Amino acid sequence: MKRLFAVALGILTAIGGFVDIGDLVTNAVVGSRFGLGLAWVTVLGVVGICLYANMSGRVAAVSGRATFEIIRERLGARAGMANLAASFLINLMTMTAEIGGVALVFQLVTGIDPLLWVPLAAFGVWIVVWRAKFSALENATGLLGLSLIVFAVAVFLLQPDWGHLGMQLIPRIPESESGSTYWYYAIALFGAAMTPYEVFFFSSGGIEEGWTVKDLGQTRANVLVGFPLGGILSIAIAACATLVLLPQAIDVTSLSQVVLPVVQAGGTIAFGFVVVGIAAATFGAALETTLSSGYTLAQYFGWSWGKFRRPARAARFHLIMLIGLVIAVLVLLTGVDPIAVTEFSVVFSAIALPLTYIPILIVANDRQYMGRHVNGKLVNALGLVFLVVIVAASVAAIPLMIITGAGQ
Amino acid sequence: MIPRPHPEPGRLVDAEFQVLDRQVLDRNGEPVVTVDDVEITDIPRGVELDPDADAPVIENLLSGSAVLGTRLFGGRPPESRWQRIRWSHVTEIGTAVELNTTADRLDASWTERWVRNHLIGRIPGGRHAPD
Amino acid sequence: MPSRRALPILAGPALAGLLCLAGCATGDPVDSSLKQAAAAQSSIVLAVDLLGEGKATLPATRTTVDDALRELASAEQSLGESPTGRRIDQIAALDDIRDATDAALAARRELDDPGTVSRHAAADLDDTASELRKAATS
Repeated sequence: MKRLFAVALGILTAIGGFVDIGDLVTNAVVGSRFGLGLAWVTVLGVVGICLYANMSGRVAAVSGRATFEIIRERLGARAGMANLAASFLINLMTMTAEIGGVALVFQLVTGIDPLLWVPLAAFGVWIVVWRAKFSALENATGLLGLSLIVFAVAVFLLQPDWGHLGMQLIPRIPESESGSTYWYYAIALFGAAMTPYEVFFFSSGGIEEGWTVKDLGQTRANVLVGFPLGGILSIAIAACATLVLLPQAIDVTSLSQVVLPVVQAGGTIAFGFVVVGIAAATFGAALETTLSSGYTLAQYFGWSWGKFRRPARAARFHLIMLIGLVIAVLVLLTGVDPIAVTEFSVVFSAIALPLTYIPILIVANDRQYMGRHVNGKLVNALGLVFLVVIVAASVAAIPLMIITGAGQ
Repeated sequence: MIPRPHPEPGRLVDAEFQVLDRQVLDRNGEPVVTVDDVEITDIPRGVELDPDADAPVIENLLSGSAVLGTRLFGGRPPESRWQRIRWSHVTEIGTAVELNTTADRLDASWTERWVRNHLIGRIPGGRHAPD
Repeated sequence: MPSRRALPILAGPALAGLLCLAGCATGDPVDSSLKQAAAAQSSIVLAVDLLGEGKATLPATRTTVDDALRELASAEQSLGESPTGRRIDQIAALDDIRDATDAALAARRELDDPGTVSRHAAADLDDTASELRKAATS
């Protein structure tokens, strides 16, 4: 019975934790401009993140080593440093976007300027990272994040023409958009689903929670059940935008627009659920990205790290996270639009994907670390297919960004 | 090309594969540092390596920003900037390098102690375990 | 043995960022500004409707209108700054955007006091929104 509870908790946390500000914004933008014609990308991204998280979780559980320790050991100091620099910067960008997202939700509820909420949000993130137990942090934000199911409920409440909606799933480029914007947003959506920080967090989190080979079954269940359900939530966000905003040519540019379809469907009660869900999801993601920034740097340099240690025994780890939060706050206080930061962070995440994916794929096949738990033939086949997709997306991202002027 | 066994007893390790860039753990399993470089017995410079010479012996593990910097970009930092971990402290070389002493006793972890004493340790709650 | 060559990835994103800043205004500036303004005004219309139906909260509606006003200002600014050969269209578009902004500001003031949008202000919002939509698609 206790086992069942643990499994259920793990799955629910994975669903609620899947969506972050990148998924919210990108899916809403895509739904309002392209209908559901890019939903296939979300499906592809979910398969990819399942594969990716599964491999990195297995590596952590079997080898007892976290991602960045292994990246440096296998690829060497130089390649590892290049990897670290890019991953850390993009992680910082994502962290800034998430904290901005938390501030935006508070603005939505209170009407008070988000710049006033930014320092409070960052302080909240810091205090939780400083004091709270790892599992408590994960479970609380994951469960509250389940509130986002209101997006799926809203789709039903809006009483759509299901046949028409189904037809929308067929990939096609709307007249108001071009081929290049279509593929640019495909890459953005892919980057939003397959966020790199997820990998650092998942594998380091595995070590935090002391996973062993015995836990492999449970982590597999969390990933294979939780993430696809999270992907369905993402598609629901896009569907809401498709049903309400697309017909009125309202391109999503702010968080307030993302929730309009939910409000139309279910009034103030639905609004209550959606803001709780968005706040939990973005706050949870802010925690994860903050911890990831600490994990990556500490693991490369061999510093003591982990929430399971007292801050005094992992001093540099905590210092890095504190500095990261301060930088994020300073950037947001310049008045930059958090939605714009979000849109850039998902595309840059897509660009940086090969950096973390390739080492994981290599190590998951290395018998010295994995013993008999190396990748099976199927996983490797899928892994190679995704490698091609990831590299293609990474290479195409910058030219498309230039051609479309970042999606305009 | 495998050198002739050294007259003194010991283990032959491949520095690049098994030592460099490995995590160093202290006797309690706490991470200390990553091996940035190794200091080995003198190999005569500017002279062709004698294939019959004994394999060099590792004297110390090296770490530190100066050492890492030159590892990445080339060059040789002055010996005063080297942080050494004596080879005699090493007990095990597996997926990580394990030591027989605690992190706090080592020169290499001085930045950790500095940050602990001057910054993190001073913030309320820093010395307590998480709730 | 895996390759240990460093991956030259920092150059890519940096270059992209610079080029983006330099060349972000692509496409016809008049049309894209009108589209941006039409989308913003339409979202105000929707938000005000939802408030009238009792479905939306006042702070959320205020936030939506504030966000849309920022978009309107941005559309007006990029239209005013961009060089275009179609001077007459540009002036007409600027007029439409300014009318919409006035209607939006009036609605915003009413949201502060008395906290509801009058039928007159709502009608203004509707009219200016459809003007923008017509102009954007013409």
